[in-house]
Amino acid sequence: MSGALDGLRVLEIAGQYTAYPSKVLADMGADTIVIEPPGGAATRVLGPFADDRPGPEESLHWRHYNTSKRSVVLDLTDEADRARLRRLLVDCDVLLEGLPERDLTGLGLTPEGMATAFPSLRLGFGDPVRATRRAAGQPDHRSHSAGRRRPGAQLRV
Amino acid sequence: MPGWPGGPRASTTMSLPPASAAAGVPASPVRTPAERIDGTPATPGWDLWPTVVHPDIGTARVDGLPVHLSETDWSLRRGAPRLGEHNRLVLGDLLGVAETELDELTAEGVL
Repeated sequence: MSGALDGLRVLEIAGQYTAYPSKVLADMGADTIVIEPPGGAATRVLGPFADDRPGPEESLHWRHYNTSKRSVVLDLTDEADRARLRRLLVDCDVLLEGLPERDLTGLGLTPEGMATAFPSLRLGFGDPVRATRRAAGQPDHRSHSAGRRRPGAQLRV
Repeated sequence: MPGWPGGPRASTTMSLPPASAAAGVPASPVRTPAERIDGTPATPGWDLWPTVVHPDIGTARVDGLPVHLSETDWSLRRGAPRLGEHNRLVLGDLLGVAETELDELTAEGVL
């Protein structure tokens, strides 16, 4: 049986709130790549762990929320890897990310800029606070210190 | 509360909900993960706990999606990836990074 989303190309910048929607797209057939920072996505530290051994490959949270995806490590603080992300975005249909807006800006990935650079791309906000604020037309005023406490919002550019 | 069979103290997690529902109060038991996964035929029967092959641990049961589509249903393509498991596929096949450069990146510990 073929999936409903066969052929759809999805990129996820690994985050706490992007994981499940990305998993759903992947399980439904989308070709889905999750981009992790060096050392692994922050959610890999979330338990419980297989055999109660904490470790990035033992996180049952990770195993549940990332079925059907492929993992690639990109250091988005490095320009060479940011260029690789942009090249992946050219052939991508959906981007899911939950970064603080100022980190997105630092990456040169503002929603407005991406709409121009990658017109076929559809964007998903994996961050309920930001999504709500954007829907209400409000800027993202969350501070870095607020973001630092949440897995998936730890990128610093 | 009148109407509880035998009174509240005689009720159990499993016996109370039907009695409660009969009295017009919808309820269902809160199950432990083990009860939820193997203690009732409903959720495995719905294929909620499919098995995937993990590169390190072999077969493992994970959560499926709680809905099914008649013509284009979901399926788990693979277990969750190891960190950077598909670096070579993505960088090489999708981005066209040469084999020699991939080897260098691997040697440098980047991949």
